[in-house]
Amino acid sequence: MLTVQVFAVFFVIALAGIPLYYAMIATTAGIVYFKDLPYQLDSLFLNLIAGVEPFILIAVPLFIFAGELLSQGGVGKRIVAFARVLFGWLPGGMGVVTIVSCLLFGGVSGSAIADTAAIGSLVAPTMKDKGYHPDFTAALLSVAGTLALLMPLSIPFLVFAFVSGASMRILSMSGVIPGMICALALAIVCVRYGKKTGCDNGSERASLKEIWVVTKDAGPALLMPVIIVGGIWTGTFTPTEAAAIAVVYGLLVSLFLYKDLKFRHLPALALKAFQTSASVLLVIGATGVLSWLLTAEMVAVQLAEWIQSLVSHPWQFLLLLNIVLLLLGIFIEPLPAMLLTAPLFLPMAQALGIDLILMGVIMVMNLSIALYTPPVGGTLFVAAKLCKASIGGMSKHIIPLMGMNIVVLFMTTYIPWLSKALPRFLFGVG
Amino acid sequence: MSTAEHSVADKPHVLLPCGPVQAWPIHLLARLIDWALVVAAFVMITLVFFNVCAHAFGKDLAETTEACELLMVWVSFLGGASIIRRSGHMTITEFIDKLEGKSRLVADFFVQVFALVILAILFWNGLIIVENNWGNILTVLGIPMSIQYMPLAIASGAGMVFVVYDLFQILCGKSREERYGVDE
Repeated sequence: MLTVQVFAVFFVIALAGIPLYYAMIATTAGIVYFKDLPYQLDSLFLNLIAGVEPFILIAVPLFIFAGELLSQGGVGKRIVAFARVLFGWLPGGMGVVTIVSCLLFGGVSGSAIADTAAIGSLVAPTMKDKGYHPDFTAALLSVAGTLALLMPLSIPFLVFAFVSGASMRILSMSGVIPGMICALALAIVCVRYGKKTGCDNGSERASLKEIWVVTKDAGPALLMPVIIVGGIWTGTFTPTEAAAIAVVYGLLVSLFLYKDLKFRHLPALALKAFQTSASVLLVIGATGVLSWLLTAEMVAVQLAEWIQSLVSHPWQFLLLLNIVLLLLGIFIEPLPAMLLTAPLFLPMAQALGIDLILMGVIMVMNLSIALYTPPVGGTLFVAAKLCKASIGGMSKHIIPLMGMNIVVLFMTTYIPWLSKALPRFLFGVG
Repeated sequence: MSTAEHSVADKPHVLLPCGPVQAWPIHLLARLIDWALVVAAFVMITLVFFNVCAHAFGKDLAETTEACELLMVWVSFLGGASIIRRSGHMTITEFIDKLEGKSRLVADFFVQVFALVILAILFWNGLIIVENNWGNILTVLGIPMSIQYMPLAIASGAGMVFVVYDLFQILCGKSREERYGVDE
């Protein structure tokens, strides 16, 4: 009964346009007050502070700041140039270049919105000149930008690791193969689009010399994920330390090597990054307060028992999880959706013997789809704005791209090898 | 939320963006919070990187870890206060955005009254937490835990000022575009 009350109160408040941070605090305080539960509010709010202080969470603002530094520091254009000499010759080549650029840039930014905005602003004019329809370009960008969430420095993975207690080291590698399969699936759609419309039959193949020159220029940017992932892989750094190294590396590359940034730009970038992270962290903290109440009142256990009475096999639970998250994602942004659902789904998954790492990958893949599901979504809006496209026009182009991603999502759900192979190969676990 | 599409390189003379145009006391408070946030952020980055360097020499400095956790609480809550002024908290706006003109102003008024009540609860309980923890000392840094817990009350108090000012603007009939600027 309390479960229904908590969710009903929260969703009514949140859907009324109250910021999620306040909605969660209000739900917790309201339930405690009106149900006369024996908890002091000041003790409950200590969980709000405890929710934002853990050392591992420092990685969130630091990775966001590193992403900002690289987005503004000229890394994007070098990555696009690199992808272009490698894949520009394919039919639908600029589309493939966009996907590869998003995949590589996602490896340094970890943010889907930053990925879409940074790569989109570079490729959209060229795609327009080649004759790609702006609606298709925007649809492709909104989908390809979300590949960042499956790459090793993914911020949702970091948040999931914190919420679930899963190893960030293993989690960071588990999205790579599904991410690459998604990229391949999207590339097939682009090649088909290029051939069908005849707008882009591919440019001439680049010579080895051209490839070398562009690779050398993009090298420092491409090296960052290698250093970070290598450090985490060998156990040299924790994720938080890796984030600090990413910031320092981003500063060195942007200020001294590419020289696209100046020292005077840093305060504004830091402010933006820490404001963005604060909006995420306070929701994490408020979720901590609500989760504490739900745990103390045994709500999660009761809900897990109820779900277990409905589903008896892990495959049924995973199907239910995918459907719930895809539907939830239509209305709620990925991180809040994850923070809301993870504390409820995790005990059930553990009761059914489902691996935490697999859960993390499935949740992040679902929620990345939410970013471009019409009518609302973070990358959907950014891409529409960049390409001056309409959401309605984009929708028909999004359907085949989304279809491909849903196929990969179900492959990842029911073939655990896809998420486990790389961590197992690198760490011998997973 | 914010995106990377506005290049800072386009604004070479602005160290920190000013945000929406507001009365000078509000602007002053906001600038104070923004700069405190930036300074705390750079100190935190430096400390974490310093710890990485110490690790390279086989040392682990517990002081930096505890100081970073303390700063993390400060930057989270100060960041939260900073984005109140820019209407930047994560919100499900799909339904409220359908409202226009006067009905949107009325909805904004009720949202801000709700926010004010929650911030007041947080402010009051934040003060109780600070009051109760002067005697408890952080293990390594040896300073009262109240310093770590203080930003809840401070940021909620600052947030209340921004929300009251916004309510005043709403009562004056100013639209969201006028209050937050077109990009917000």
